[in-house]
Amino acid sequence: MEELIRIFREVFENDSIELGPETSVDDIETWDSFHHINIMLEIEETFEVEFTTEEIIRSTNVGELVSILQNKGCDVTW
Amino acid sequence: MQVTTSNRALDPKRYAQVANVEAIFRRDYPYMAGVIPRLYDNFGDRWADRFETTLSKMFSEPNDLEKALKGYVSYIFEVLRLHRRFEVEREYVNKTYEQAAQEVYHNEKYMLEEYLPGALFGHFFWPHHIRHNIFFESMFLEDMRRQDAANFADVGIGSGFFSRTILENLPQIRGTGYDISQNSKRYAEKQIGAFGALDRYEVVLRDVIYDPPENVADWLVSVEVLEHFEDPMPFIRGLRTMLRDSGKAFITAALNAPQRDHIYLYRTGEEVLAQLEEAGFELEQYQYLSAHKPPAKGVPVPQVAAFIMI
Repeated sequence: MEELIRIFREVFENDSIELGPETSVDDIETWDSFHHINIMLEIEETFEVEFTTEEIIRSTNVGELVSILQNKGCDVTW
Repeated sequence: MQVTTSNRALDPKRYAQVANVEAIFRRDYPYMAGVIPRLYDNFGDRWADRFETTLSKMFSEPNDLEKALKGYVSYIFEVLRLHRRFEVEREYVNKTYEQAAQEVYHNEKYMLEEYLPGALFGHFFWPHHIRHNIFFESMFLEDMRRQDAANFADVGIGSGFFSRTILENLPQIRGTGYDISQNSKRYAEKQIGAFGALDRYEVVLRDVIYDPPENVADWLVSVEVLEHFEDPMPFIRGLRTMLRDSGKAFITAALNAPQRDHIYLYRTGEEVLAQLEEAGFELEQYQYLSAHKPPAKGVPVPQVAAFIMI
């Protein structure tokens, strides 16, 4: 989770961001489509995975995102 | 042409379909939730009126709008992904025209579900396209109106948006769209039919590079087609062949805008203008518009370069 938190803090330029399963677009004011694709691409690079467009679209909260990563075999735990 | 701006909230009764788009974004694509309020704040009732009319006429069947918006979101994320790569590599993915044609123009599912809805919604969601359309309407379409334009050609029709705009605004005009894609033909005919103008318009499936009809149009539009070729010059010469000597053309190109079917990388509007002039066009007006501010100094930003040529 540390890597995910790092990515979110870097993309949003906000060191106070904390993540939980329910953390969603509604919780981070500047989470728009540009930031969304940047988060997803940073995660791809960090975790060495590739998201489908469908997975990018569906990842509207951190819980969903973690679930997708776990299904891809990534070691991401709360 | 004045653009009305407003800090008011969108009236959901006056703009029921636009409000519906906002609701779908909030529910299914919450990272897009700010799009409609921001656009209404920047472009006001003029934008909302146009968008409402398009939505009402184009997406009247249940679930049509949701499917089209999903297609747009898929399309936009693909574009954003390609742009992130472009910011680093500063080159488009190497592809031939034939490859792009097979992957895109002749790919029915992709065209009808993503690419063409993406192109259509881009006219309403992307600020630089909205401003570009204002330039088109105020500088070219208005000229057509003043001169009682009787005919036009649209080459590379895409979703049919520009043909529809002309037909909608000039009730006496007749037009011909030229394209190589059966899917574009189908989508454009649907759009123009929805606006009740199909009796004044036909789409001809024809490659104007190898077989340009000569001197067929007094008014010609070709919007964001040039970057789709390995070498745009034969196509541009085809446009020149099609336009009558006294005619006028509205020709645009996308710059620094990676996309699945963008092959020729224009980095500046001057590059486009040089090619148009090489083909025998003369410049009358131009406009360059950027999609947004550069995220950092020197980072390329997608632009549209629009030219009115004689």
